[in-house]
Amino acid sequence: MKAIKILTLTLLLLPVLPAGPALAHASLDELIEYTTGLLSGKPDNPGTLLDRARLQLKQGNNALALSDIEAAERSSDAVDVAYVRGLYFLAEKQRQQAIDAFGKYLGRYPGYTPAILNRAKTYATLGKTELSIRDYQYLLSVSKVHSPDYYLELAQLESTLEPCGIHMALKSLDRGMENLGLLVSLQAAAIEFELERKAYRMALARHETLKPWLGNTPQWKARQKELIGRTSQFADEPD
Amino acid sequence: MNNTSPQNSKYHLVVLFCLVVLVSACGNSNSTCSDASPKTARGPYLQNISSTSIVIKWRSEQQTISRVRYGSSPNALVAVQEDQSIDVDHEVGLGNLVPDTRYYYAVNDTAETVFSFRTPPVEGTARPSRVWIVGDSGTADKNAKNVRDAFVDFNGSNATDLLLMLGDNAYDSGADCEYQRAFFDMYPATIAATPVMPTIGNHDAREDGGAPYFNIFNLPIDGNTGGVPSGTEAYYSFNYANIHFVSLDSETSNRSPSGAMYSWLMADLAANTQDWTVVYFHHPPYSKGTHDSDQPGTAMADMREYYTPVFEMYGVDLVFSGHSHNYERSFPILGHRGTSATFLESMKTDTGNGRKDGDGEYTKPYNSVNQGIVYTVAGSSGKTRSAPLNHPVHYLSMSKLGSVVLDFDGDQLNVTFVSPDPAAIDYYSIVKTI
Repeated sequence: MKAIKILTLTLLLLPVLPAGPALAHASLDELIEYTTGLLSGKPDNPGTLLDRARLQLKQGNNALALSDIEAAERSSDAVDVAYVRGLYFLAEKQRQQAIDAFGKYLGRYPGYTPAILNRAKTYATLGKTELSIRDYQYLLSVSKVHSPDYYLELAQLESTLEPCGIHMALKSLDRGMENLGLLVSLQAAAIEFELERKAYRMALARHETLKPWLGNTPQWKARQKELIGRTSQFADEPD
Repeated sequence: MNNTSPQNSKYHLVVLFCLVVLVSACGNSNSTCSDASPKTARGPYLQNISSTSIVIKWRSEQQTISRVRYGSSPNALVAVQEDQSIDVDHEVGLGNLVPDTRYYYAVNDTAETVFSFRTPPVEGTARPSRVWIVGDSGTADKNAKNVRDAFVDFNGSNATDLLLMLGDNAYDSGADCEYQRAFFDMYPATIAATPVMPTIGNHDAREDGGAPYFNIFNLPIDGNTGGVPSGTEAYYSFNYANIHFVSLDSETSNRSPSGAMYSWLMADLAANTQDWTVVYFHHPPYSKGTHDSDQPGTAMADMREYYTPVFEMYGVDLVFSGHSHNYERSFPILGHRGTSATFLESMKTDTGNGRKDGDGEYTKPYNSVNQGIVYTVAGSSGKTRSAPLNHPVHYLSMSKLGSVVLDFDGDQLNVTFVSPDPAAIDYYSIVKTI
């Protein structure tokens, strides 16, 4: 489980890492060209400058993106530019500055979920688990669409906290299943947490809930046998 | 919010880009493709089909109630399902349908026009089924139209049971107005008769994280149409006849083995008992087209490194992707995880072309695991561009417009690349053996 957690924390960062310069994307090229055309007529338009900055970041052209961001700041105000500046900081691996920038933006636009998610993931990268958890909880409170991953990532962070982390993680997973329905992805993680806290009967009970979909599979049957074995071998520790 | 926020600047860009694209592509359009424009009527279109239920959606020009009249004869639409709430966007679910039956229907805005669809047979029952696959089709231009017309000519009067879309369904940002042109106006006859089951591409996700995509499509998240519930429309599975389809999200969801999609896929494929399994997602694991799957740290690399072992472990037959605007079709292969330079001839489980009139059909046992999988990049339904096209897993690679047709019939599957260019030919078959 620990290896999974480490892998998760590492991989969670992938979406916020910068794309390499070699990631040539023809459509991005076209869009950059298009925004450049727009800017030739209105070079100070902050909206178009930010559009091009985001495209440049996707292309890995960080220096060009910064130039557009600074130009947008000169003709707009720093708060409205802060989200894209945060993306630039992420691309440059200046994570604390990225967090500050996302925070600045969220101060004005508190429901902007990409900024919340990016800040949550950046906190996690920096090992600021409690702050990351706070952002994930906030994300779940404002986001219209809940991904199973939000609950899974939140639970994985919570599980690392002492002394009640696993309990918190299980509550988050159960909340996810209350909102999204019984899901293998969340219940499987919950089973691992139950085993980690030696709640074998609970693990078995959760495993049984997956029977309608997985009951005929060899994997489910083998796991059931294993869990029954553990249940009879060990008494559950008190929660 | 003032007009310099990223959301507004993005909106600004989308509106302007739409204007340029649409005016140049369509020529006769005076639409500004803006969310501020009056909404255009669209549909009806079909979603979330099972052997006993279907969802019909459409948009009306005026706010009205939602009413569907339907029946098993075009002259007797005797059953009615309606929702009294007033809106321009309509969604009506029909239940208690009879499997493997043609139904006729009309929606309130098009009461004079009768459409039809056919319910699938009971899950697991083999029936000749045709599936049309378009990839990166969202250009809303002459190319997309030519690809569509080539399919219509190929299809003739045959029924098409499903339409799969491989992502980038509406350029450039997947905005609602772009979907109008690239999807609703492009395929009106098809989508009124054939359920559409898409996957999300990078361009579809540009507009508000894919909000228009998720608003337009109703996708199965609860296992009611077969498969294990995913809890999200971003990735899902369903059964049609004796075929299991899996739509993965290679763009917006966590692709890592610790993510929810991965564990869901493992469970879903483990529980699958259908004769055929088709998986589709946007980013190709093997491509030397307009995108290079050798690039590390990309969605393409993730899908190859993390997901192809799962496909092999659970006996997937075919994998379709888009993203590269080319057609690339592999030999049946097994065990290739690295870059193209690490591919070995021994990873081909069949070195032939898969053609009955050529090297012979590909064969694989029913319900087998660790057999060869044919991977296809079919992202040329809206545009093509020259590219190296030299990935060694592929039997054939070409920069030709086109789409793919799957014809399932019992133990046989025939796959055809259908192009407006008669010189662009590919076809092959897979036969399941006992």
